[in-house]
Amino acid sequence: MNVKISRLQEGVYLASCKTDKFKSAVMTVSFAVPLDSDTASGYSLLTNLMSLSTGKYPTMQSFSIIKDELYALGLDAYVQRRGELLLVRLEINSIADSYAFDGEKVLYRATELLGDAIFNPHLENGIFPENKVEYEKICLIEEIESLVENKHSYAMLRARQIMCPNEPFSVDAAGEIDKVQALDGEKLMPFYRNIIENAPVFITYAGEADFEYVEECVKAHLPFKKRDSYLPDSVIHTPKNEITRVCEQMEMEQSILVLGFTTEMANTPQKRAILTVFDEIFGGSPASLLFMNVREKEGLCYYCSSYPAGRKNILFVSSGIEHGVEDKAIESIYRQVDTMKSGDFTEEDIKNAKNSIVRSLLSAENNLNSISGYLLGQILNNDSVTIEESINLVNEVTKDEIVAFAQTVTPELVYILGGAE
Amino acid sequence: MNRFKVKENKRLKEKYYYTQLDSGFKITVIPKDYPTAFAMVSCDFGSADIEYEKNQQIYKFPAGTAHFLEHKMFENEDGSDAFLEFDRFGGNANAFTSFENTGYYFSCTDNFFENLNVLLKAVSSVHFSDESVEKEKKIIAQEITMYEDSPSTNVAKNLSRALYFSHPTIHAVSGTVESISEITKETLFRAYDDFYVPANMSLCVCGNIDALTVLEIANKYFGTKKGTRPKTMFPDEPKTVNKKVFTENSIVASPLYCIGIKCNPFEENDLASHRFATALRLAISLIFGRASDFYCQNYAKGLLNERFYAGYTQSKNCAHIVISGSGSDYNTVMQEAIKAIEDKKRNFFTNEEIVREKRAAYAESLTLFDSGEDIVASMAACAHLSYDDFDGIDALCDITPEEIKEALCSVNTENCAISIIQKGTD
Repeated sequence: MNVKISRLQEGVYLASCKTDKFKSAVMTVSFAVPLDSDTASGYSLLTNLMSLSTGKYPTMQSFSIIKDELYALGLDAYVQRRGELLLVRLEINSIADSYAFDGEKVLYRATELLGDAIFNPHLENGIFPENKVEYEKICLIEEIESLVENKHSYAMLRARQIMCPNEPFSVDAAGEIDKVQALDGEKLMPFYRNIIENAPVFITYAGEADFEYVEECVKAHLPFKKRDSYLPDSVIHTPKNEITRVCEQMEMEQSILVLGFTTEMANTPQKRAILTVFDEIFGGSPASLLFMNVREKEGLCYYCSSYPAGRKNILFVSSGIEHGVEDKAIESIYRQVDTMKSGDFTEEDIKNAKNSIVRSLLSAENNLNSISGYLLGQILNNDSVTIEESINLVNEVTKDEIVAFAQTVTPELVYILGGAE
Repeated sequence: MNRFKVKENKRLKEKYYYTQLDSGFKITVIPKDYPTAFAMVSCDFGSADIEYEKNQQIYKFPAGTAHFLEHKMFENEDGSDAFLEFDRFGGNANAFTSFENTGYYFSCTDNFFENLNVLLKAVSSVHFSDESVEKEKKIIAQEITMYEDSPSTNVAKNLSRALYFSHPTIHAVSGTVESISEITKETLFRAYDDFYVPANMSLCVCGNIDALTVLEIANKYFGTKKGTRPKTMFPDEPKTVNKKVFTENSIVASPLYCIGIKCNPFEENDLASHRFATALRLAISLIFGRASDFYCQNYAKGLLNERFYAGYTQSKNCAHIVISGSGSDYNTVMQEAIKAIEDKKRNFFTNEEIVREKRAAYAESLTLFDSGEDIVASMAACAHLSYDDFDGIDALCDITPEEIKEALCSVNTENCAISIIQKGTD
């Protein structure tokens, strides 16, 4: 991958990848702030407003028309949880200049529009217009309430909240209803000023443009001033050494089961490689123990997968099952954990798992979004490694290390949504 | 030996190689320089194909048969799983069933031809036992109930039931727990024997792959078997809607709605019908897109939000416009939407608006060619049709305002229905 990383200012970073394999290009700007239930709602509402209009294009219609003229330019603003950080993100998806008619400079103009959205939002009397804020509050509250419509995501959020009640990890990036309710145009301004003036900024670009040209566009339209680059680490979850069982009733055709485990904290690139190989064998693929046994052999579910939490000593297993077979499924999942602990898997299984991980690392170059994700990791984390280094680390993982990691996997939560109990 | 022909598109700066085995099995190879190569086998057999004619006799399948067959395809003769074989060669495999067809695919960074052998071997033969069919019913039943817990899936499914009387689009792709209970290994053998004939199947490969080796391997599995695809029968479907309003209760933040307008279906899915669909999609996007008066004014009034969507689907013998979103004032949305369509039939768009919309649609269709996975899915399905994505983008670029107006004027807004998911429990 042809990557260049530069520090434009203290606390302002740019990672670009030059690739001619795509007909489009993606630029992202991410502001990193600590994830906190007191502030998540403010940032969440802020992104909704920033994606509606800009100072130069203050109405929704004028903003949509200019985006259509720029070849259906996608310009989104959204918040994203990453471990225990909240990323306030703005992103543009544009066509590559070489596919524009008559040699139009789409990237340059798209970056200009992105700069307008960031540095010149539509304000009235120095604050976000109250009528827009009020309506976006209604929309955001509906968005938060509608999480329950996706049962799997809702169950995962509840599991995080129950298992880690006082940790940032349990905060929903979308925000909380009562906190959204309390916001107004003026109260949003400190959130806005904080990202513009204080929060570390991470910019990525993936597309056909040369590094120099990307830097020229960024310097012209995204002139961020220097700022502190400090980012807080994730809180280590203290194991409780007992299993909490929570069952929440909801009228549903099937139950969603989420099991929470504590694990060793994978806080070095080596340990993350071990965790990745463990997860691939345990529950991360259709060849994994969970899929092959809980689904294929026992026919208990349509899906059963494991989800290690990024940069947190926690692992979840989730499955959608028939009401009444909850305990059978739990037993079966625990049996697969025991298989991992006793090392009852072959060198061949390890080799296949490693190949699968290597393949997915190499596939980062298959699409612009995964390239962007990789680039962000390179500038956001100070212990990031390159794809090549990751591959080497994965290939070095031994069976003993996987089994040793498995010993630290300790059940702590059984969460059932919808089941009868 | 069958020779490859080449087709190029200057706009897209893309080309592909294609040929056909003596059996009628079609092969497409698209050179791409991604680290991962993709391959997909597509069979022109989907959830729409539940009634068909063969040797002057009519046969039927329970709803969900194509999907059930897809679930069983990766099971080997000895009961082992093709997924494990793919895993051995570093292949990442999966499958899907849609209304129109069934696709089996893998991606890999190495051992492409070994994986291709696994894929073609799996799809070129089937093995079922009563026991394995019964076990699969339990897994699929969980998949079906998972979808039933999704209000956004239900609101769309109910719209089909409101618009259509008996067209197979009223059934979910996976069927229902009841309909799949009727499926036996005999049903699956019949489906396989009648529809998985080489002439009804295609292989699409995307990557830096030697086309002649692909041909050689495909020939081994699909070169000789003969047979033609039976003709799918579709019931006579009235132009009017079955039910004006279809309501259901569920756990939702605010009511979900799906408004549908039933349109005239095409017997043949050819370039002419595709061109019509493209013209009508441009019209719908001009009326309801994010830059439209309709969207911007009604958003400002608090009638719409980000979840609003408008589009047009045209498939095997069915066609309708869909307008969906969330909010309690769905009746006003429906009235306003119909008013907007009727208004635009008389006060048509300016040339400037049309040029802008076409430019946006052009940019959106370019992105299909930025993903190997999307390319194989689309091109493998196109092999069953008389046009492809290259023709599609050319049609889009030279479509005229008159065609857009004609497509819009063919819409009869009286054939309109609404599906609503109300807040509450049943």
